[in-house]
Amino acid sequence: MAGIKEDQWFKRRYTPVNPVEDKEATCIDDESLTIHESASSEKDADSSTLINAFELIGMSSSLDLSGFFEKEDVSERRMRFTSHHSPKELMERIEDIVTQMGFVVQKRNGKLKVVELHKDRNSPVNLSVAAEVFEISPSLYLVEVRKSCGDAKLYRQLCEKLSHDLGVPRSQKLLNTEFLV
Amino acid sequence: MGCFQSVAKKQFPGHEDPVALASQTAFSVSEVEALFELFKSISSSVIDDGLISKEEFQLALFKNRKKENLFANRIFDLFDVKKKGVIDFGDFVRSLNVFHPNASQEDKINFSFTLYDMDGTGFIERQEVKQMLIALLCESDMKLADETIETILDKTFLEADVNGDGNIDRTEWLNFVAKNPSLLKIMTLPYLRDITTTFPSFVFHSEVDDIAT
Repeated sequence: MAGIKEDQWFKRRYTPVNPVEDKEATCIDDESLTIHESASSEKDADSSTLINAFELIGMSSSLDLSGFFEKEDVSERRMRFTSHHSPKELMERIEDIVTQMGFVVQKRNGKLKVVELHKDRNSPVNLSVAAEVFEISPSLYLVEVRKSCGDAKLYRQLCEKLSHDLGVPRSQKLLNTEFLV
Repeated sequence: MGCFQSVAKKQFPGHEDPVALASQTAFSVSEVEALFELFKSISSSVIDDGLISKEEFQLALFKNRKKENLFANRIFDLFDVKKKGVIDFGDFVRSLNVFHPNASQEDKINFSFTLYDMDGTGFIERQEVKQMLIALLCESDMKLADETIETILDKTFLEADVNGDGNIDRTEWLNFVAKNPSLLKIMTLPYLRDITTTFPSFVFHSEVDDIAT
């Protein structure tokens, strides 16, 4: 009995967010939780768009307790890169890139939500990702790409493409004092 | 139920009755039991003593027991309610309770203030925020000119530090968060809603659930 218990528990532990499962994957949708979000998106025309210190600090993976519940490393579900492109340009180009990759895009509250659905397989596979842009300085922006559920490999491919196409070029990174690995 | 309790108490110092914990938190009895499954796995990962040490905490969060940093230390300290250097089951449930989607905004706001008030002076000082910013940048392998950091700090304090004394007090924090609700995002763990499916416990408490709810 103890053996079986152990087994089942392990199985559970190792597949908390398995996209191949038939049921609606436990998709961690931040959007549905932040009930105040829509009110906050109405920022004063006067207030600067510069990120505030706590927004940046809050991005620390050490403040992210989801590690308790996820087997994978945090880098498998959250990624950031810096870019010199403007927010408007970034959003447009991200939309282009993901649409070309076969994703569907929803825009809400200045954030971009990316969803891919494979309808041709037996069980639907979802990749649900949200992208957000933050201003670090007038010439430097931070893009955060978070996965709420879905295939890890697909997510990584998407991140690599976005970072490669839109991120601060490698050569510049070495010369600049402002870069992100 | 008697069996479960006495076994639990022997092996898990500080273990509390799930019914009592459920009544004090946003968790149901089944959810507390599911948390116990999680607690067991974390607390036994390095030393099987029924308590979560700093190393085990780090291992669970970062999959790396050696990874220590400013924020992780701070969170550990906050979870270590009784200040014993280890986290027992009661501490664990009560602390995670603040992160429950249904926990009060007030609790979340208070927790976040205490989190950022690194030295516990009752004020979040500019220097503390700078320290945390630098830690974040270090962690992300991101380098910013000091001027850029100062500009970010200026903007933050301009908005948050209403009385301009160079510190953010609890009231100022409350107002600041009200204007910037996304700052509380880190204070909610959506996983806690599905805890009974992620960590099924094998103790059946149908009668108790009826009484408890």
